[in-house]
Amino acid sequence: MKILVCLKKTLDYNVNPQIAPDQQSIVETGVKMSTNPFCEIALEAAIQLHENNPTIETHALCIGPESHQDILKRALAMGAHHAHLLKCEHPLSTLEKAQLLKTYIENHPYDLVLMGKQSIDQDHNHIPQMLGALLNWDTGLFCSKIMLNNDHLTVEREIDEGLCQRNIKLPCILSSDLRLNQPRFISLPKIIQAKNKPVAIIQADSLLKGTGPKLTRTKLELPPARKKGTTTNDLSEFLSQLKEVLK
Amino acid sequence: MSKFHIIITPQTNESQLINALACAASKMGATAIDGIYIKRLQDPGLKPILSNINHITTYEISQSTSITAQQVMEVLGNIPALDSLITISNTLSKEWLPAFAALNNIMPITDVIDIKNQTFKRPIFAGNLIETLENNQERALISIRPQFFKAPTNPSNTSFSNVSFSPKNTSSESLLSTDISDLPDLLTAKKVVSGGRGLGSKDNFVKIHQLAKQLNAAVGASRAAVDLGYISNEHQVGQTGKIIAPDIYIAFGISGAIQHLAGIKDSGIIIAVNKDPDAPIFEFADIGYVGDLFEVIHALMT
Ligand SMILES: Cc1cc2nc3c(=O)[nH]c(=O)nc-3n(C[C@H](O)[C@H](O)[C@H](O)COP(=O)(O)OP(=O)(O)OC[C@H]3O[C@@H](n4cnc5c(N)ncnc54)[C@H](O)[C@@H]3O)c2cc1C
Repeated sequence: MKILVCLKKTLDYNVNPQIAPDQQSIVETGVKMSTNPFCEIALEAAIQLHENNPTIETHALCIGPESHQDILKRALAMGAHHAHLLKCEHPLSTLEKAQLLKTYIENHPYDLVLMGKQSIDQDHNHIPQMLGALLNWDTGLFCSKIMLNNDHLTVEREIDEGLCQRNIKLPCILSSDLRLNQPRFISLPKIIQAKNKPVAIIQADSLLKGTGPKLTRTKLELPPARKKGTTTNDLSEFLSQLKEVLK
Repeated sequence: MSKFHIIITPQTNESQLINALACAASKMGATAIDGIYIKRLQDPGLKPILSNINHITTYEISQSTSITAQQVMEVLGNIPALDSLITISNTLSKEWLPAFAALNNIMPITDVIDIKNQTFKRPIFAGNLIETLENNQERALISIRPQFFKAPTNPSNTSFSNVSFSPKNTSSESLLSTDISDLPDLLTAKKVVSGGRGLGSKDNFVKIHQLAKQLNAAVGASRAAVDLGYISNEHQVGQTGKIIAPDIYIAFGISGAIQHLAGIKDSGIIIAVNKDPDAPIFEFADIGYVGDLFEVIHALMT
């Protein structure tokens, strides 16, 4: 069985994003970048599956410029067997990425595609659903538990109404929620070892059907700020303020 | 003339949500709106709606558990000349809308908070920034956060028709846990009482439920509280949970991480109780108490 884990490089979740002078993009130079936390959870899930079943092979994939290879090296250090960069120098929409992944997967068959449910920069929550539709594969979104049986998976998913459970046939797409697992710590020797492991580079531009941008970002702005209110450590003063509000 | 559709699936406070959808459609320039309501067999169906919606077609799905993305897509496949489609952002639409969009080679615009014709605003980076997007496509597939679309309600002349619909694709999915309570729904409640790691245990978290009941408020939680098993996932508020905007939000023992703030920053009044005077939540709370949360809950309950 072959698992493909898709990884996105994003601003680290502890970094406060800054608007660039063009008012349309985000400052990325000199800022800490990391693997999107949801993607890292997807990778951890794949590694746990192959640790329990040596016939499973885990492939990590990233769409982006050559400078994004570092997160693939990290994935190799974490335990992925192979790494692929779909090299593309310009930013792509979620739909273009899903189309690109579809073409890639049609040429390189996988049994299971694992992805983060959303990226913490764009907060889209699109690509697993789109890829599932384009490949016509069963799709399990927002997974907080994945159990591998013989020919199918049983997943628990976090939805607005609570937790639900479903059986999914392979091949399929799964998207991970935060509670799926806690990604492991990667030791320094493993990071150093992985430096020499190869990353296969595939030119993505040839796989892309070029159409004009469907959406154009015209502006980036800060949301209206909330004002700092008053704090007290006097309980009766607080309670009377609270009761006033609750009236 | 383009045709506007709003689509709604059973949820609490449907008429409020339909008004939000109709408001979003008129901001896109719609004068005539048709509704699609996908209901389960046992659902009672729509009550009269106060909005400028011409006609609502109800699709009745002869299956009892849930409505799947495939079923919604089958219904949408039945609709001729679909141009613009607007729905509520929730986990169900997160499932079907991107899938439907991809099959139609359309880039959807999701979690929209403001609209002006073909220009859409949506939060990114957990609500730290707002992006404005121009739609260059002939059609628009949109999901909105309903709390940002408050429309005056007009008397309605909506007519109704019902199509009974047997979907080809049925997937069986069972709900494992859900917290069926008589408390208000978290997404639309006017008041929310929320608890975090500071509650310390599942037993203590019961106090949050009791206080919510007393105040007729919904129950919210931080991710830490859900991770620790104090409460089930559907109560999580924040970037990865529910995005809410009640009139009053009361947070007990929540530090106020940006991912949590993402879910509450559009609330009317934020009230925070935390024993740490440097907790980030005090940076955006309107009223804060630095001290023990149990003392406060005790005082409010008696
Ligand atoms: C990608 C990503 C997505 C995330 N999404 C979400 C999300 O959707 N929602 C979310 O909430 N978090 C989310 N988080 C987690 C977030 O970063 C915080 O870890 C989480 O919100 C912390 O929860 P907390 O405030 O309950 O716990 P803590 O940060 O541990 O805070 C507990 C607070 O309780 C106070 N306290 C303790 N005892 C008492 C007492 N007796 N009286 C008064 N105060 C007391 C403490 O002073 C402390 O401030 C996400 C994180 C990541 C990386």
